[in-house]
Amino acid sequence: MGTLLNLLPHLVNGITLGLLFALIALGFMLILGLMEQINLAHGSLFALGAYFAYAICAPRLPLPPDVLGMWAAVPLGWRFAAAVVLAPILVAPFGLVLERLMRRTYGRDPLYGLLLTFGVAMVLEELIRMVWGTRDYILPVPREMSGGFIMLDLIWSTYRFWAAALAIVAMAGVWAIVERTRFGAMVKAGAHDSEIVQALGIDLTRLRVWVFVLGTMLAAFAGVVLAPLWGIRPHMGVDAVVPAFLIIVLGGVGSFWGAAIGGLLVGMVVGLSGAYASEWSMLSMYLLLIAVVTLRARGLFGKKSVLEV
Amino acid sequence: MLDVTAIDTFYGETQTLFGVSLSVQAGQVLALLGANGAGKTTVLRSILGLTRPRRGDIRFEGRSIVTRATHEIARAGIGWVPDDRRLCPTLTVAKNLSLGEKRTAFRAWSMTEVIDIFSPLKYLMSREAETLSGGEMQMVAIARALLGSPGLMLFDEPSQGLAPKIVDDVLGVIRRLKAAGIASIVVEQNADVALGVADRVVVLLHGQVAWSGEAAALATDAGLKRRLLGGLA
Ligand SMILES: Nc1ncnc2c1ncn2[C@@H]1O[C@H](COP(=O)(O)OP(=O)(O)O)[C@@H](O)[C@H]1O
Ligand SMILES: [Mg+2]
Repeated sequence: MGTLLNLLPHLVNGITLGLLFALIALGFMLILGLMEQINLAHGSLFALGAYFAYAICAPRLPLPPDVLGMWAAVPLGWRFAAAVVLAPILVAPFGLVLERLMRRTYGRDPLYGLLLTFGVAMVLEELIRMVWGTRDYILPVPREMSGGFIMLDLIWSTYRFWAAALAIVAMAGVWAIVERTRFGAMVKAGAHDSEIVQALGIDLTRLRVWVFVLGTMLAAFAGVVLAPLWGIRPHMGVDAVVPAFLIIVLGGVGSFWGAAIGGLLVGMVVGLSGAYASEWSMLSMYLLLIAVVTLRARGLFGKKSVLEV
Repeated sequence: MLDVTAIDTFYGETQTLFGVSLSVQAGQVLALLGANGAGKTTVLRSILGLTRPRRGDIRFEGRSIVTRATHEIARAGIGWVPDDRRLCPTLTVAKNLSLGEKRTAFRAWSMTEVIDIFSPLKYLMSREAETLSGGEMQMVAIARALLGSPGLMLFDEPSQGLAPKIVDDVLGVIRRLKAAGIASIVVEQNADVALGVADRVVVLLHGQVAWSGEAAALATDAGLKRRLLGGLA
């Protein structure tokens, strides 16, 4: 009983990770649904979000020294809040350029999109190395959000609860957009049948741009919120695209709740395996990917999810 | 209103339409008849820019639309009721309908007016489209096109898979639209259904226009009808 209770903080850790993974997966899924292409660079957009957040919070911005000094004097709480809001906005143009590059692949074999976005992911990772170097960074978290507290004789990390709360707010936002707006209905209809939406007078090219921007901002947002937990390093993009991939395989394409449940599942696996040995938490994710793909290759990117069977 | 002039349309390297020409005047109903595989759907797809003609011209309200994007063609005032209805199965009827709503240069139709024509819609609004019967889906597909304020409606085999009573309802709607000044192209394999509402007829045979003329001429000339439409009539 005592040991089970000890797992509780790891469970919370898993839920937090899972919610953030779900956010990455939702953007990945929206893009996959409407463009019918897998965006392997999705994780790089996530990584850019984390690096931009670092630049805003640290602060390491390309600004005149006196302006930078003024910004550095602003309390960290405000700088962190600014990062949460601004980093996704700053990453959005990268998504716009990527979407423009991907246009040639729409309606073609998904292999074209895979190769293109793989190339873009490599370029973005190298760009990150050029600008920020290969070292790891820690995103500073405001004092109010960091540290830990004791509950049930266990030590809990405060920031994980903040991260979970931020993720839940963003998930609720995505849900509202997808389920409650005309834009969401256009996205769903366009993913199902791209011809009919155009024949109804909807500009599919523009719709795709907006969906790409939304997916990019969700990835960047997850990058900001996950950065204090994961640390910031050039390779973090790949570590983020794997759970997204896994969640889509588990939860199916085009299902909000499939992504949410799949996210929690993957987060739990990572969180709980981290309870035993932290070096296993990432590896467990890759092992899960191999297992799922081996056992369920048929269900890959099918409309039906593994969870529904 | 619509002038299709000598279009050649291909799927890949396979030519499907050979110099097809037809025209529709405002408020007129044109029946587009022909056997399965004659190219009727391809004519509609060519007009909508979904399968672009390689040669020839299509003018709507005097302007060439042959190179315009599909959504621009729709916004110019051309509505489509596809043969397989193409509703989004996971969206409610209300949302499927709202996707069709737009303004054009033609008369706008409000949701209230459309529900007035298709009264059962009222009770279907919150249902997901995949749970509807064939007749209900057809009704939603027509209502959706109408909410887009079309000047010209393209009906692809509107009677297909529907009970005779519902086919009559659909024909009634086409007559009502005609009375409201909306032109229609009605694609049919069932010639008698289309001849019941059509002013003019174009008969396609292997991707070419085999005959065109007044609907009355075809309806009253049993020999001509048999020769053109064979078993279809
Ligand atoms: N998407 C497509 N790709 C290739 N060939 C097609 C496609 N759609 C239709 N065809 C071919 O074009 C011809 C005309 O088809 P269609 O216009 O659908 O005929 P209809 O509507 O009169 O039954 C047929 O021979 C059909 O096989
Ligand atoms: Mg057809």
